[in-house]
Amino acid sequence: MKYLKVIFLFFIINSSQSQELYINTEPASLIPKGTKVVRLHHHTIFLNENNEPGSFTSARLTIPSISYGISKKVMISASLQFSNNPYELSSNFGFNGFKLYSKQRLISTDKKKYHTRLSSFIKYSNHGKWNQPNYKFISNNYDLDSQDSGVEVGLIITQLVNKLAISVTSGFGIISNKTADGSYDDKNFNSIHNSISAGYLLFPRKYKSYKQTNFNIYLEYLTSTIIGKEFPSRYENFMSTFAPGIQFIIMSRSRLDFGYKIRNNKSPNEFLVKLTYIIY
Amino acid sequence: MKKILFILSFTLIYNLGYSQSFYVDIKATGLTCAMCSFSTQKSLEKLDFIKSITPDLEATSFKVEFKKDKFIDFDLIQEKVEDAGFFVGSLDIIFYDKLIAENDKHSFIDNNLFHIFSDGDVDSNVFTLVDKNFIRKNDYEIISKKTNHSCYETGIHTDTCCSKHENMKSNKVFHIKTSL
Repeated sequence: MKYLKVIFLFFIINSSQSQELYINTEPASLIPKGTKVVRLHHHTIFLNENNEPGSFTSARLTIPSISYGISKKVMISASLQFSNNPYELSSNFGFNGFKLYSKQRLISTDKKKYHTRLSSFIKYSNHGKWNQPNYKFISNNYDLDSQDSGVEVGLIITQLVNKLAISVTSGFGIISNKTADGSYDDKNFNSIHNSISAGYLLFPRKYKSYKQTNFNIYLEYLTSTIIGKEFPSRYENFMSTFAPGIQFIIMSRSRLDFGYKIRNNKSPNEFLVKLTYIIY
Repeated sequence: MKKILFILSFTLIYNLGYSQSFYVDIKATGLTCAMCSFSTQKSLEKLDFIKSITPDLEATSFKVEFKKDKFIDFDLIQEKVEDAGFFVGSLDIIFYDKLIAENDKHSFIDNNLFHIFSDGDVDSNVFTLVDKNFIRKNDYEIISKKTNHSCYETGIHTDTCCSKHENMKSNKVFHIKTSL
């Protein structure tokens, strides 16, 4: 934890430019009205016999998604998930679930190269269609973005001061895990998801043209906490993920992100690639 | 005689092929990346009276030139910037030639009716749009006290408030000031 603080301090001191197009979380900013954003993610979760007994191979997830700016205050997004089943020996790949997301702008105050944005969000996930009987890639994890089912509502605040953007997301989740046959593997439980994200622009030092490729580095720290005492015993009630990443913004309308997720308590790590394109 | 004296130069400019006798410099706020600026530009490009947009990415501003014979609706410019998720920090209207501004009077320039405020009769070619939605509330109140034209409150030209103008493409009147 100590080195995390040091790195965040580095961000604050060296913040000559910053970015808020975070890799693992959403910023409080919305996409422009009438634009569509298409994305394709590929995640590899490094499962093995030690960190996930019974697994034969890494989990590979492919997630196409589309977002649309309905107005300057509301955006919606939908994603599908296709994955392998790492608990089956034969090679396989199939539809594993979907996620719906909407973000609403609540407060937006701007000055020159400065802004404070507050948004609310709601997320609905339905995952785990495919890889039964385990149905989750990481059995002692709960994550609505990749493997669990349920609802989350929350707030995002993104603040840019002196060109440093820091974003904090706080959400309340109801995790309701239902397997593909309709039975519940777990009891419902409630959770709190908090994260802090920071971005830093390395290149270019000066913007002259839309054609310049931007190179950004990101650092995110995500936590999940179970509320209450009643929850399946295999979970720990606090989980954290440390997620560094890099990003290229090409021609001011495409993004290529690479990220790595380091989870606590011996949970498997993850590598992800994200391709984003804006359609005006 | 203290009327707008730029007609001569305007005619000259017109003949030289300028689209309008002015362009604007929009300073957008909240932009932090080239992607944001590009989104703002794409949003502005939807307006049919805009001829060209030249961004200054470092200053997060846009130089916007207009097509001739069009009424320029600055409210729509603001709407498009806000659709992209940002704000207009300030909007400067820059005339290709100096015009002599008589305080608190209207002038019909190209297809737009402008109401000009100036501190004394200054000849200048750079003016700032000071309509209600474009400036801070304090500044708006200060300027409000200096005029008794109701159009500053409403943004709409009426015969009771202002002198009559022919061939107006819109009854909107925009207010500009030599300096804020």
